[in-house]
Amino acid sequence: MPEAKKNIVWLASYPKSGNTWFRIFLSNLFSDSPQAVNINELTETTMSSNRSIIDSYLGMHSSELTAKEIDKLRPQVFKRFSDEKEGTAYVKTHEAWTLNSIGNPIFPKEITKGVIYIIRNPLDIVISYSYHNNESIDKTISILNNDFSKLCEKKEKLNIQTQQILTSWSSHVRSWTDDSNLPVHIIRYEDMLDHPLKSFKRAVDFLNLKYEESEIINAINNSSFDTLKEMETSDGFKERGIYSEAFFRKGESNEWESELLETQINEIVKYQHKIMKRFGYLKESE
Amino acid sequence: MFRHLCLIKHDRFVVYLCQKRLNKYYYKVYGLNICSELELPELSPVQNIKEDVIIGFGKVPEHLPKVRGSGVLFEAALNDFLFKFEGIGRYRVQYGRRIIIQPEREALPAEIRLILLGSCIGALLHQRGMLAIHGSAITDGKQTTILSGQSGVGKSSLAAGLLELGYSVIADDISVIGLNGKQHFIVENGIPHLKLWKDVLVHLNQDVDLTKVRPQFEKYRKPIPVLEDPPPSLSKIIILSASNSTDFSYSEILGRDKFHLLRNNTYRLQFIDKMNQTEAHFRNLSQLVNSIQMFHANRPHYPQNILEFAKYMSEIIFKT
Repeated sequence: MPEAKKNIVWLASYPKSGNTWFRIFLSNLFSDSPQAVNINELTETTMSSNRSIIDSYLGMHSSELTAKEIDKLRPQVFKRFSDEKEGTAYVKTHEAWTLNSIGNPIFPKEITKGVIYIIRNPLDIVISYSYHNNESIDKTISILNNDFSKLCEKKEKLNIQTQQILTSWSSHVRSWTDDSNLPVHIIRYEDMLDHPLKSFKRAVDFLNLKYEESEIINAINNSSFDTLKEMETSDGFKERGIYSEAFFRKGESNEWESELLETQINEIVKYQHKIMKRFGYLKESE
Repeated sequence: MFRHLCLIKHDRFVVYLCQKRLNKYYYKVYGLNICSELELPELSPVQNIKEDVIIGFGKVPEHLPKVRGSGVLFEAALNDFLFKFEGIGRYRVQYGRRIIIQPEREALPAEIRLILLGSCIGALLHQRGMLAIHGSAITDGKQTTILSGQSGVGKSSLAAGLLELGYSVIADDISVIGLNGKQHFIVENGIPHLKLWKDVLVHLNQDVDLTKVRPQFEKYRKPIPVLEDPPPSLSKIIILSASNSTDFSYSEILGRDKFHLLRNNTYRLQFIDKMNQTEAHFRNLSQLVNSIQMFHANRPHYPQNILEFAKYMSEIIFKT
């Protein structure tokens, strides 16, 4: 293998934290057209669990490999992907940053340009994620609180994505922001809503992208919640969960105040309070 | 004596070899006569053949002497291909004519065969300049259609559904294009099994008391009848997709898109450039593309309704 290029940007987040919104912003930023890009034609990004890409670099069906075998091989898949990629590649992931069975990081440092880590209040995530999966709030809380949570885990069926280690919400945040030893820029979903220009501009600066403020504002406007909702209503969105009515549902923060029961809030806070406090989702006194 | 020694070592594969080593097994698949030192129960046995391909055991190097290109698990050169999988073994495929296997001690025979009959056969077909499409082939006895598309999209499931409706399956996963006596394109008989996940077998109310593809997960080999008659001409290729839509849909693929989609759905496309087989592949695709119709067909991700989709597709495939 030739010398590694540091050309991969991991767009990492727990599910339903604003990752897709950020990807759409990037697609609009990179677009030559002043019009909003079609949400069903986001060509700028791929996913870390994309089975077709993994199969292609392996030279065999990953569907005939165990999750452990796939994870053992994925660092090499990503290195080859990086080597063949001209320029920067933006790769979406909902996985926690982890080591594989032989102790290698699944997301190799030597090819990583940086990480955009998008964080959202877990009290709001559970509501959004329960709609996405058509699961109860209580079931969703149990996923967020479980350090062994995985995505696409079922062994009796084939998923178009490979299995992904999700972990609990706090472990997920810590894995990327503390453990990974990668250059990480953290964006709060709530800041993307309340202070979009400041928030997106900082991310653009972190990625060392050269755009005028007017171009960033245009990309923000073209990826506004109302625009995305309108596009989904009119043409659908291929990334909508198979069980949910819409991907772009409310695009708000603090929905938990009216939607969650006190017992549900307590259940989340009990497990997640340290990281919630660290990122401003709990008052110091709580 | 050998058998005794091997049992002491608890070496599953050596035990297996000691039991079988002196034999040679003859099979026919993808239009090729195969002579193998390894028993391949997945294939249809034949007798008295002049072999096109020899499969045997031997020493396989760590690397090829001259590598043109490589992937995570393979190295490729002109007429030379190496595949290695830790815990299973190394394979060398040469001149479209022979496959040498050096299994690892702990390898299970089923796992050795899985790689042999997948990526290694794929490499051999490309070395021979044969066109192999990633997909399952079905027929009503008058015409043949290939169901192609990316992994996980439901090619084998749809083939299983069409089998339930009375159609025949010619090949699963790899559909090799050949020519019949009238110079019409056909799909050669493939491995007479459908590889199906448990959820599909359960959905179709079928027995799951079948051989697992690998012991670690719930994917099974369902035997399918071998076609005795020569396969009818290939007339259509369907590119399958799944989305969060609620309905089935289809549309015809026209113009250049046909070529690109056929190319992208070639079995183990990534081997071809690295083997210096690009020109032969281009030629094969160009000849085929003008002789067939191609369609996109889409199904909902959820709910899974294999038989309904099979009925819908049978109308498109066999009645248009």
